[in-house]
Amino acid sequence: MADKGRIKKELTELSRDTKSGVTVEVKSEDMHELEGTISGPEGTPYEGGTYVITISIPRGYPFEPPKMKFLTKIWHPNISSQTGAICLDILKDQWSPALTIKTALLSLQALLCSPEPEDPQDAQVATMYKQDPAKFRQTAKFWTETYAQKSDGESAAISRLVEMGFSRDRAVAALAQAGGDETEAVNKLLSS
Amino acid sequence: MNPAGDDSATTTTTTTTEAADGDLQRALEASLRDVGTMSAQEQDRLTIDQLNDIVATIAQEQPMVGAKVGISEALAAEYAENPMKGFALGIDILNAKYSAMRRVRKDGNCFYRGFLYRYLEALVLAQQQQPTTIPELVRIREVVKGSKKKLLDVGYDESAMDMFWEMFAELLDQVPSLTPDALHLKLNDEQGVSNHVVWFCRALSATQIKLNADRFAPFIMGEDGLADVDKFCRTEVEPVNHECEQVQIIALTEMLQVPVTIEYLDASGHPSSIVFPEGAHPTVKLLYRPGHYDILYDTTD
Repeated sequence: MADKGRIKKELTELSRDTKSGVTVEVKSEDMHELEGTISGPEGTPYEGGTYVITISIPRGYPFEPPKMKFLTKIWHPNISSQTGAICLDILKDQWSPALTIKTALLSLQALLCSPEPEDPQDAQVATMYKQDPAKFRQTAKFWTETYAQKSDGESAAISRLVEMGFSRDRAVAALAQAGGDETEAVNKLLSS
Repeated sequence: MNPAGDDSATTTTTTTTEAADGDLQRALEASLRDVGTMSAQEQDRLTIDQLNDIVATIAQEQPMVGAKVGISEALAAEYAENPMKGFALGIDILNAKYSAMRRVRKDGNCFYRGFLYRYLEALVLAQQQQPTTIPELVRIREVVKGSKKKLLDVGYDESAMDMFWEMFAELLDQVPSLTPDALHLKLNDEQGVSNHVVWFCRALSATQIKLNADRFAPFIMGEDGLADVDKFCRTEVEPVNHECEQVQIIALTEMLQVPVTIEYLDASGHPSSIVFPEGAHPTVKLLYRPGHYDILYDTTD
């Protein structure tokens, strides 16, 4: 049985903290299902994005790490673009009870600043990161705008593709695949 | 410098649970050799599941700390087939010097667990014979009380540390009402405070290293020739199930001011005895075999 007292203490501490840019919301009565958010760090392609992370507290916590996964889609070498699964040592064998949900979320924020392409979760993203950094940045930024920003203004490119008669879902998917390049996205849509 | 890293006389291992702590990682690595074709995600999943399985199997088959057993009774059979006769000679010497031993679970926590168990057991025994609180109990309570500020000073998160610190302090408060048997049950209770107080020893060890970074740095040089004390604590001291090396032993004995004797049994035929710190007269005595620690009892204990 995970220690409820500790989880409560951590949540109290988190609710008092308004500076670090991470928040946690309780999703289940037993406090074992949580949802965290981190903001995309400045100066990265993730700037301006808000990322939701599902957090599941295992029975063995704090001797076992919390299970974390990106709910918001993100283009990053150490995070699966399909499932949101994260490759980060402290969520695996380097976890210790000295760490907390907050320090884990802060480590995810740090991971957004410094990707580790040599230890990838998503091979396709890691390859692009290493071989075509400009395209990587463009794609990561487009994914941020498309998936991680509050939908007050739709990207102009999506609107134009929708006007051409493609469904919004297909337009978004094609643009995401093309790293935001509108011409490439149109070609993909027309050839599929 | 590093006894845990010296596996020149590695014992032959047959099953997972027979393997010494040091072999936990090696067994895992061996089983992963054929998975080069899997995705990173699949491999990670496999690694964690396998490690959990190994630890769970060990937990089922071996108590955290076993019953007292005779030295040769416990060790002779284990080394009967060993072609290096030095072990048998060493066992004879240990058998003359020590009356008994307790096996400690081989889960990577054996040093911390064995050290803490034997220290608390001796404390309970000494307190049982006295009507008032013995000086050593007063002293260790003060040390632990003062450790909280040190833990926070070196940067540990209070919300993470509180429960460990409280459980350790509570256990010390309970010493006057405990018998050795009650302590044994408590420290073998999977759901109880045992794992918490054992992990707290890691935090104490790491804190002492951080507080004396300059002094410990030369002993924790990384592969790059740089000594990163915080990284060492994060990767080698704090993670659960991570084996203990001499640096952590020195740090823990300093922090608690509790000395320890370690008897090294290897194939040489001459077990060597090292005392931390040098010149002390420890009650806590541990048997070290490559990759693992057990508890030893003097013939006078």
